[in-house]
Amino acid sequence: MNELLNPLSNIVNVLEVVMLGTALYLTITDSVSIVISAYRLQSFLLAIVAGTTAIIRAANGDAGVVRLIILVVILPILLVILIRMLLVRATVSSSSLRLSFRVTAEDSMQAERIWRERATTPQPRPRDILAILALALLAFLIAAFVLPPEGEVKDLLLERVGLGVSLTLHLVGLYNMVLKRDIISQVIGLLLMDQGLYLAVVKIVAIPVPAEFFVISLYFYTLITMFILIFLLPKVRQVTNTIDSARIADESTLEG
Amino acid sequence: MVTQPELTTGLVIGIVAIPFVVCALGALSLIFRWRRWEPFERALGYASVVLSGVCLVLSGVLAVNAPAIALKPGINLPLLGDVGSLLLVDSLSIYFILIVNLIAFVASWNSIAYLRDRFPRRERRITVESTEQNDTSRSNRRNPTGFHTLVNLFHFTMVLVPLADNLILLWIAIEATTLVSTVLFAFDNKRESWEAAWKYLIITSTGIIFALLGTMFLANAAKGLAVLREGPIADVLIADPNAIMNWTFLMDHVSLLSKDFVALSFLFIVVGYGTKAGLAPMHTWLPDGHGEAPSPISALLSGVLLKSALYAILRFYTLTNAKLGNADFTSTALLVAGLLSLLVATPFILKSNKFKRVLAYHSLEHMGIITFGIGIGGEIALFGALLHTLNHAVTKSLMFLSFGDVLRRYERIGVAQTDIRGVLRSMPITGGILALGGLALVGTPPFNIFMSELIILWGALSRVLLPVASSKPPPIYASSIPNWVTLGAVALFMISTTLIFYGLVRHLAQVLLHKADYPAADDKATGVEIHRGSERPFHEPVLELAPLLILLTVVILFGVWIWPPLSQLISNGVTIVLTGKG
Repeated sequence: MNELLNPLSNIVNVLEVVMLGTALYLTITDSVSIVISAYRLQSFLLAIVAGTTAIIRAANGDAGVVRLIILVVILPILLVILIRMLLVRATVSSSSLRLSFRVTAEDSMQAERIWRERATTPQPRPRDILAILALALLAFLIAAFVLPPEGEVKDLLLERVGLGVSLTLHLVGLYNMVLKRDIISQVIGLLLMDQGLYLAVVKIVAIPVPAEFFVISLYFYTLITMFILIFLLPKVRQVTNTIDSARIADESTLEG
Repeated sequence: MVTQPELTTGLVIGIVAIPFVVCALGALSLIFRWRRWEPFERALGYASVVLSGVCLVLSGVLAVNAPAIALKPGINLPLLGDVGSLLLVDSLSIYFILIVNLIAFVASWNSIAYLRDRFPRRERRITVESTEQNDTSRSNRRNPTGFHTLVNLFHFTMVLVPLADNLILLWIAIEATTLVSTVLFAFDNKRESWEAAWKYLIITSTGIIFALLGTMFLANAAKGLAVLREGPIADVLIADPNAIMNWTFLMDHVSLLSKDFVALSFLFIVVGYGTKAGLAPMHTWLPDGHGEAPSPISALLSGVLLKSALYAILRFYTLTNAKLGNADFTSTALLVAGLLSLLVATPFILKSNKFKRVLAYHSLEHMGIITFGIGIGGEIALFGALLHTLNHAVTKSLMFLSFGDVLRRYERIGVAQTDIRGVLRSMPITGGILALGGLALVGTPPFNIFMSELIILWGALSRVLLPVASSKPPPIYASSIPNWVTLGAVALFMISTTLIFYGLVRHLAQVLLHKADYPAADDKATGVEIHRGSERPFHEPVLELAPLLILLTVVILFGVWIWPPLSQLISNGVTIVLTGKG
């Protein structure tokens, strides 16, 4: 069994590094379309990482893992499918509080046009690259520092890389939320942090308890995310007539 | 004869069930459209007030009969099973439940008047008809039933917070308050309120992710317990697997937790729940949110919601101190956060601003003061900090509600918030209450805030000048912050509060004393014609003043006397925070 598990663990680690790559990519770009595509790819990778990690832990004797796999994998897959449609709807919809999810090809094109107008910097900014590398370094240092020395934990490398990637996603998500100038990318930043949580649940929390309870809390968090995507984001876009957060701030009367 | 656990369980069920039932009734009326039936709408509003009053009485009984040690209410629900195992009732949780219910009661009462002005009956009939024909006027679709439903749901979630023993449930309850309060923020359906709701949800959701990650780190710290297959700990976990994230269980087995993960967890918790508590530098949602929300909601947010997050920090504070064996790490983090909040609030209170925003910055200041008190640590300062939690909740609610009453009346004749002047003349009773509340808020003797601030300062100075052994049973987790740091912190505290005193008095003088200058207009709610320069243009009904007078009584009374069961509750709460037992 161990011969099979080692390659699987390596695959998980490689996929996590790829996730870091996509996080970097969606941070350094100004194009909302690319941000969304990179996020979808990242969600897909997360689903594979979560599922594979759960299989490895099941093989290691952690009981009750199948239900957890199903619970954990559903949400990222759902977001892969839904996120673009929700963001198109948020960008162009005028009936924000209606539970209508119909998005036409015309809506899609209109949203693409609005997103294209937002892209101001064609080249990646060195500032972003340096910042992300620094954040990743910080996250991995924390992971190395807080985890016990070799021998005390099963799959230490798996756990250490998992914690490092989880913290990096967290910090990079925060970086996106603070520095991106459109509300769509800010929401993607929030979802990126959300992904850090998913990874933390499957990589560092004991299975099945309390991991299952944490998954319930993640579902609850997803409820908040859906509230933002379905109601709040379209409404804010509707009342401000823009997705440009700088313009919203400039025109706002909420000052001082 | 009713035993203590039975009494506690019965009271807790009542306190939790009442707001839930009112909310469920409201939700049903929204689904089945009874809300268009005005008698039901009115009845729901009055029921909300009366039943939140019943909740307050029940929590008073709970406070008087507080259990000597932490109790788990025996609550079993169909489908959900033994819910009681996830809950906890001790003096600290009862104290916070009491605060929630007191503020929920007065806010519900004040909501009746707020909604009456927000939806004048005649106009409402017209707008309901018009919304059916014209979908563009969505603001008209807001309804009092929806408001009462959400307020009761908010009340329910806020009661759940101090009752949660399971730290994941605690997180879920706090996150639930976020979701419900966001909708309430935007109730007025203006651009500003949606902007504020957006900012609030994005910032606090970000913070709450940190808090969940912090909770996960704590779960990782307890991983050693989860893998045990034999022995008493394993027996407990086999019987109740979710106990592994219960605060009481973790406190009992704190020596077996991983030290580094507990410390890392606390840092993430301070950032996460600190965002929700409005501590600087994560406070930026606070002035917008409190400034734009309807006044009863601002009172609930400032009076209770911020404290709910603080309650969560307190539980982690105790756990971390117990693991680390001292309070150096936690106290330093909280002292820095507290002082930073005080310093950040000061310039914004000094500058000219909308009065509700000024009050919001005062919340930042007072959360800073409470956090400062916890950071100083020790019995006296912690007593002061816990007492200040109640005092600030009461005084700030009084300010938001009384200014809300003023604002509603001036808005009815088309006067903007920034142009409100001469309230002492136009509304002498509400103006007088606002003046007394304002003086209390800045820490003027003999009001309640003065008392608790003095105790906190006394706690800080006594650490330096009169260090005495604690009266609490060991182990006490105290900090060894150097004296010069404590004195420096006290100096900054004094400078900030003095400047803030000047700032608020200036704002109050502008609102209260300047000559009233409103145009001749028709009062939109009453239809009465208001003449330019009328001496007392607004009626101040006793029923509307009553919740303000209740709060004012507490503000004045607690400056000179504390209800003995409450004092005992706070003292027991201090023991719990210091030792984890009580």
